[in-house]
Amino acid sequence: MLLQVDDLKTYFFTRRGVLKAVDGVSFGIRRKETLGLVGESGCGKSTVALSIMRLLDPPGRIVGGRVCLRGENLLDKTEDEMTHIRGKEIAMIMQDPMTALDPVFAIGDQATESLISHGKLAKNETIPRAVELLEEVGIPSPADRVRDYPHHLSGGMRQRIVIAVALSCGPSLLIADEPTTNLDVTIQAQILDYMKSLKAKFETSILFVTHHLGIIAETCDRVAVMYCGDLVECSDTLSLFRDTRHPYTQALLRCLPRREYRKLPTIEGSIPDLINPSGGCKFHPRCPKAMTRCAREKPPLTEIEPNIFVACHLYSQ
Amino acid sequence: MIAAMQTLLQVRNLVKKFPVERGFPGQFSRTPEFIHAVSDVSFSLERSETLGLVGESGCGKTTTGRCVLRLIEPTSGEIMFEGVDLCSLDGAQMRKMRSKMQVIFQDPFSSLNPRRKVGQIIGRAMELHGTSSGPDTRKKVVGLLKSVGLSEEHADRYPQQFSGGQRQRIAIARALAPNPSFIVADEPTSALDVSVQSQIVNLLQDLRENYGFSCLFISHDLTMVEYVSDHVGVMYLGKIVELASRVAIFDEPLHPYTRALLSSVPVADPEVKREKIILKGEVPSPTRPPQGCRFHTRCPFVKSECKDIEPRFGDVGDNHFVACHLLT
Repeated sequence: MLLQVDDLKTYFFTRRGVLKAVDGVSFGIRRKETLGLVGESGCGKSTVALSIMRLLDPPGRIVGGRVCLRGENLLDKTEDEMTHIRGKEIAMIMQDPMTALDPVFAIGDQATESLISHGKLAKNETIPRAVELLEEVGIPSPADRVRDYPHHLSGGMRQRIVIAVALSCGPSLLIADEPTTNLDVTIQAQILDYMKSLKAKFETSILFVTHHLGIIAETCDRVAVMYCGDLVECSDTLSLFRDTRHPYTQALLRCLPRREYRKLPTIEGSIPDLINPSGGCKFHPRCPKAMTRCAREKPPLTEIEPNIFVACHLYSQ
Repeated sequence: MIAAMQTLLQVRNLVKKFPVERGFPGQFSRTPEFIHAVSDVSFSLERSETLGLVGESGCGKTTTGRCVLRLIEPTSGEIMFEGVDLCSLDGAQMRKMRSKMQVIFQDPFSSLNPRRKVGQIIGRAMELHGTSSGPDTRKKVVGLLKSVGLSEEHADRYPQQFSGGQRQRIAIARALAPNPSFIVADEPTSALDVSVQSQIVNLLQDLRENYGFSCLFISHDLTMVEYVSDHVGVMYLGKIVELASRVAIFDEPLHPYTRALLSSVPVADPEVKREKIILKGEVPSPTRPPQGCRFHTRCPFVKSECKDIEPRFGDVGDNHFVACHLLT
């Protein structure tokens, strides 16, 4: 395992009370593997990503668990040590390419900033290296582009620059948080295609955070499904789509629109209040297969078959 | 003639250009520049039919929708609604006409007046368009709220007390208040969570069955459009490049752009292995659209004539319209 997350707990200490955004999540990412982290908005998937990077802003705080990169717990590192890890070992692509780049610095400077700060590049070599980086992510006429500013470029181009920045130091783990959500579908297809070829070239592992099941099916080796701060199911992509175990994942897959439906299926009820969640399994008020036990006990994430993890009482003896 | 009577809306050669201000405001410019948002768009809409308009951002689908309602004044073209050319109407006549044509906007957070209670928002739409007045209004408002899945007590709350999905329900109720025969739904689900999107689309489908209005459904979400539409128009850089029945568009797309667009949508099935058509480059600027076919700069099947001659938007059989030199 390259990255092992164990029982991660990230809470937000709001005026209304403690919001358990991530409530004991465990998963691992192997080398050269793409793990998809999927769930609806508010399920805590982005909070997991930010917790791994230790980039949470108050009132958010990691209150428990371990995040181990090659066996070293990142939660024990000092802020200085983290600065050396961020960008070099773990890089992140944010959702919005419009705000991820600084509007007052030229593209070339931003593309190489991470290399310089990690001591991998001398300051007088920036321009040629920046041109190379832009070329790698498929920016046309990169030599002219390095002196441009972010506002000169379209959303798709900016997202490529963000990817170039993220990959510049050759990180072993790339966290991509909804990297194509704000882009048009044809540009999304381009970016996903680039990410695939770059992954093969740089041999990076990817944690792909998205709400889009289609992107998961096409890009990920394994998938972890989150619901209200809990990880409910984790398995390889094929089993997840073919032998869906958890009732929430089943409901999520059923909700994909299909032409032959006369009505789109919806999940009954709504997401519970995360400050005062009901006891037991968080999905039980909406679950069609709920049993009395589900309201009392929270089901633990259990390996029911090799490498297939489910948190549901239906699968426990 | 019977066929013509069924047609609710007929748009012919619709053009909208927005002037671009260059340099300091008021400075003289020798060559005025325009954003060619909508260029020569024609389509028609039958009674109680839904036409889906898809395309990527900046293709002119929203401008088309707004021009049809004359919320934006078209540069040229003809919009026949129930046999009347909307562009020939003056303000008062147009206001009267608007009771038959309503709109649902994308963002339910900015489309509802925060200082009015929900009951007032919907009641005002009824009173303005003369579908109700006086004490009757309250009863009708409550009826309408119930039909969009809300309840009576919601009438006395303010929009900010509702979630995004509920606000969109209010916006739909307001659009239905004057009892319109035509609704433009401009990305009605884009601002909502995925799980709420299906609820709103289901609601729209139910209401369409009950009230029998026609709908121009504008969206960039191909799966939603496939689900709600009877006919689908695909737009690229201000033009409709393909227009056909839903089945024809999704099962036998003809235009290279439509094919690329459909193949770009990720399919939630890891066992499906499809050939993806990945388009090179980006959409050109609508200020200087390419000569000839507007798609030729990115088209994988480009021929020499595509660069000079604009393809005709023609019927290739079964009311399947395409603008492409490969096919017409």
